[in-house]
Amino acid sequence: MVTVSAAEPVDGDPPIQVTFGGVLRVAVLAGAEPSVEPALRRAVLASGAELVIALRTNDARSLVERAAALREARPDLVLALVADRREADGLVDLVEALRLGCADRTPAPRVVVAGEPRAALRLKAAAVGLAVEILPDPRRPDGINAFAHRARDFRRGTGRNVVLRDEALEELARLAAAHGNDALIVDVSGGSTSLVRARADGVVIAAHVAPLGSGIAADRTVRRGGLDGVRRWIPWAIDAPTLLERVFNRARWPDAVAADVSALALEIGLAHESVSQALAEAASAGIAELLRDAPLTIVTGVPASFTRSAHTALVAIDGLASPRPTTLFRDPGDALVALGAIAARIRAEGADPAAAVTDELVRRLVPLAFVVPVTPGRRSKLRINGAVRNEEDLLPGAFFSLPERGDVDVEVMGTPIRAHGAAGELGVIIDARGRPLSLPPRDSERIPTLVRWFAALDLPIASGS
Amino acid sequence: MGWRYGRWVIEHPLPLGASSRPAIGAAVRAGEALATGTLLGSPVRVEGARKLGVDHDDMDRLARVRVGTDVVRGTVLARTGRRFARAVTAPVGGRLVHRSYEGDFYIAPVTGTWTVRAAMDGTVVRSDDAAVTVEGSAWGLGGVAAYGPDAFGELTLGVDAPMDELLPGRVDVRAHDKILVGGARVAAEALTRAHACGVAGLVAGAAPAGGLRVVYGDDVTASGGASLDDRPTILCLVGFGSGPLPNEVFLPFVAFNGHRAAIHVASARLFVFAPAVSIDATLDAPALVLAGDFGGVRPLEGETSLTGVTRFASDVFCEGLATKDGVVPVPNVLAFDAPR
Repeated sequence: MVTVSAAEPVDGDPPIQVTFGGVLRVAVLAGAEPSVEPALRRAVLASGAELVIALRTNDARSLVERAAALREARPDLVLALVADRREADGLVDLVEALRLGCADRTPAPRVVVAGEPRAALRLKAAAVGLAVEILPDPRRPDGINAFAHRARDFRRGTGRNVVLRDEALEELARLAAAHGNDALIVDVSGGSTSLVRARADGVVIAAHVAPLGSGIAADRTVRRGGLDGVRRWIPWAIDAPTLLERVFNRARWPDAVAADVSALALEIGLAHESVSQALAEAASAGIAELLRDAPLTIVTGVPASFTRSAHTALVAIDGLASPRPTTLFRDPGDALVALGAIAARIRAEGADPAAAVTDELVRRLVPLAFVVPVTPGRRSKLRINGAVRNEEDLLPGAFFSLPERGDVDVEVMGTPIRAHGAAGELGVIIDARGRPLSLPPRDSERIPTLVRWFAALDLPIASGS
Repeated sequence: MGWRYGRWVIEHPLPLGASSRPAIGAAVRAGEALATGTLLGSPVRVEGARKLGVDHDDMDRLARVRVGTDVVRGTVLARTGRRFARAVTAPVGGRLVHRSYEGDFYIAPVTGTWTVRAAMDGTVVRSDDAAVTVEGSAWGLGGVAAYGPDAFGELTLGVDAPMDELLPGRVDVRAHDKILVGGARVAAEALTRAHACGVAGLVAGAAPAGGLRVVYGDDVTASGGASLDDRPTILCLVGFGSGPLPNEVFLPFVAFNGHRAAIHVASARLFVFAPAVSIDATLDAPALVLAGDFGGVRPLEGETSLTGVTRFASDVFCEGLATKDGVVPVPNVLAFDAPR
């Protein structure tokens, strides 16, 4: 949790607390039309809620089985989307299952109905005994915003001084993009993972996935992606039972610190996998490509706090596997998130936060590296700021960094790549490993590959177990 | 803190189809059937309001059978009271499970029964079709996670010392219907053997996460999970892998040997129904330390001192605490019953 307080506290003005808020379990009821699924997923991802069950009208289960599934899922909020009037009968059946399964619960889930107006009113009437509200259609941007806003009210609870982490990240992305370049925020915390892209005009596309992260949600990260999804990022051999034990203990220890190299490797692996899984969730909502690449990428949360910035870079580069050049930044102390939280609070009060926080933001945004993914040909040559660089062979599979600072122009002769960005502590990182990025499954091939990638960024491989 | 005698409020969620449950104020005893109900098959939908030619709002007045009632074929579900009466009858026998807002009836065949047992001696303070809540007094000990259905039985020691592992050889049918106390670890073999021998449940410092996956499936998480099906029950008190129990936690097990106990899986707690004066309530359990590689949890014992900001092997800088086993990061030390 990030706490933002004034240097001189004012009475009655408690410090802002940045948290992910409460867990909001969402059930989705929708028609059989496959095209509505990405829209619904997008709305849930924008809201930071956990999708616990999705029931469609073509679900083959009986009323009792549907009701039992809903009761077991224990949703706090139910989103019922009726895209077409002809689907109303099927959706009324789903609402009946919801009543049978959950109406007795205390508190009973709230129902949000959206879509075709007359059919929505019929659903509202069917949900007798449950609190129902009608929101705009989540297939439209205003519908997504309305649902996300409603969900955030649930998650925020009654805390007057709470700014949700996803709100802060969206504000941060808006502020970073306000200078003309799209900005992508990659955030992994203990219990949530967010990918947020903001355009210069202030439009935000976001995927906030919870529970998914490298701390208290470590076990959920493993359940989603499988143990091998995490193990593949650890640069030495480790057996599955040992790794699972560490994951489970980490998940039950909220603020644990990785004291050993092996624990750090686990956290790095979990961060990698969290970003990959968040992208997979975004792909199911049809927004993965938008959330994969932007000219500016800012890493916040756990991966930004790794002592070695090269670990941060590896999580962002490998996790996103972006095919486009990007200037990479990191936020080691959550200072940028705190700025985003202040901006969110100012915006909530109806003012424009840009004037208040832009100077501080510019001061703290220090480039880490300029990452250039390339697909080289046989005779490709690398030219940086007009000078040909021959230190490393530019071949398919190559991955290396070249020391540079400040604004750089990168050109790969023989390819259409001409990129401009800003280099920092890690210089210019040339990534010719190809996309999608793949790691060999066998340890005998995987470990040398990972060691080579680590070595490319001067990361030592300490012996772990 | 560790062991604590006090009043506890325990919620027992009910599956669909409850047919009997206690009234508010009723006294219940741990292990007794608290609520019973029926497993239901695919329901038949019977037109109600439309067939009677009335508005669905009138169905409350016209319905002759309450939702949740068992019906036989031909039972009148609703009828108009006009001179030329019209009626809706049940086409099949079963249970009237639901009435839709449009006034239709759903009758489902009964395919089996379920029983939910109380995990606490006490009084019912809430009772509806969703859950029954019981409030009572007992000795309680919280753990990190529990798996399986709630378990009830006599508490029995399965190990001689808090750092011992409960070996499969120590588990036999003499422990039938008992809650067996392991030490630092219970392996999957001991867990499955205990289930085969009819042991009600196991309590131990830790269980291997891989073993839990073998027994409970790949979806198992560190948060545990309650179920109603026939599976072993285990309560992990300190973590996963290996977790030696502090003496302050283990010794009361000796005093409680032979007393009735219950494992409430949803809250990951062990309750022992023994007099409040059974043990010294002032015995505080020591804090717990997470291993540097996250591979296990151990009690914090011996002298400690703060070392200030320390660089650890992982290059992480953090406040350190010097213990007899070396310096550990302060965030990796938590009180025994800290929320986790």
